[in-house]
Amino acid sequence: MTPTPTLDAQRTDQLRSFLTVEAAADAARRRPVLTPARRRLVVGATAALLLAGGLVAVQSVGGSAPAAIAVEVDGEWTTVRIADIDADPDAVVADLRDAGFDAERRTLEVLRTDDGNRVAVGLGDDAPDGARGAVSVGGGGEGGAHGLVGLSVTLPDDVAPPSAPGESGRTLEIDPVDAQTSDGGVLVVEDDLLGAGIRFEPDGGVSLRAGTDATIVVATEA
Amino acid sequence: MTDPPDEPDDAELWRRIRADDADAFGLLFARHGPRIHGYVLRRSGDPTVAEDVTAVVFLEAWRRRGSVTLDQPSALPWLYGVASNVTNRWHRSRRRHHAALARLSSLPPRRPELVEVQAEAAERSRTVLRQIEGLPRRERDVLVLSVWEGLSHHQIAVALGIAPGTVKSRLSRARARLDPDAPAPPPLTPPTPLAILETPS
Repeated sequence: MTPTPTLDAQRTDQLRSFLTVEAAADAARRRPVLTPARRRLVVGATAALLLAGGLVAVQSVGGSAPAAIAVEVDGEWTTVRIADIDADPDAVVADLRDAGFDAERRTLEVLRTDDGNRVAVGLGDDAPDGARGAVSVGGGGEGGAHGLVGLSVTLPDDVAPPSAPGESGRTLEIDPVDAQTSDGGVLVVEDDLLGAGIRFEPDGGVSLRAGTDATIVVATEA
Repeated sequence: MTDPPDEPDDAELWRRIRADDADAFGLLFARHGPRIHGYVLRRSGDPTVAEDVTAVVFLEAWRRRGSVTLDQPSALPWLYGVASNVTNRWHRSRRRHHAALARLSSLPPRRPELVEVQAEAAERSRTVLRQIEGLPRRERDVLVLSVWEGLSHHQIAVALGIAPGTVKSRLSRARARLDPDAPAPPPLTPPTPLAILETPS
């Protein structure tokens, strides 16, 4: 089937010129904070700090308040954890951005498993705000004093969210090792996420491979 | 779709785009922009935003040039995938590119004949969209790419980043929902839209 064209040659040329100018201007003013190269620099700098050993706590620039996150670098992977569950979620977002990550706060519908140790959040179409690929794992137990419940990730637009092989898979309980749908079907999410450069740690941390273009979501409970 | 012999194929264009070649990006738009615009227009049913959405699709493609490797002979399936995402998340995508969209608004107005063509296409689309609005978004995305855009299962799988088997199962479920009394899922070869969308009276 060949659909009826909805752009004529003249309009196509006008839009092409517009986009070419936009692209050229963007190339000229590259914003390094959003590029993989910038992230590699951040990872490299953090790695240098790690030479002093172990875990690095990242503090807000110029602030004296306790750090809200901890960052750990292992090879090409950088793991972020919430260091203070009672921290203000906005402070967590600020710390993440200071550390060079794209980050945003989002209120999610959070469900807990019977053992209270896992957090379940809708994926894709089921994400409360319609964002695709919102995932949250680990970090169970009670939320913090300001409603902080854990870290999540919004996948890049060009990466498909993990998809359920079964018919339903609408509500998911995600565990990095043993991901299951609400009806017991096993999901193959680990490979999908790893392919996108994202790894969820059993303790609730989120790991990103160098160059991964993902936004870390600071999840607060609805 | 075959490129003229004197024009680089999509793989070559993408290699140049990854090296910040804005002219190559313009050529990619000239090659695929009209089809993406048609898809966006049919998906949205709104000719007043279709150009904005189309521009954002390509701005997103440009923005992601460093992280996307084109391993297909054509960039079109991937562009369809970007278009699907941008359309589904238009409010967020618009925020990201609001400055560029403000500049886009300074383009000359569309010719009246083109406005008419787009309005007619949008009206036809709205009629169909009303019939499939009850489908889950994932199934709707697959159905639209198959029926309206004529993509193969493999191309849809590339566009949406899912397995070809998932494409088939979502298509089958979508058709079953639209025709719940059917004894078995219809064949998976793309029929005409009305053949799919009509339900027994």
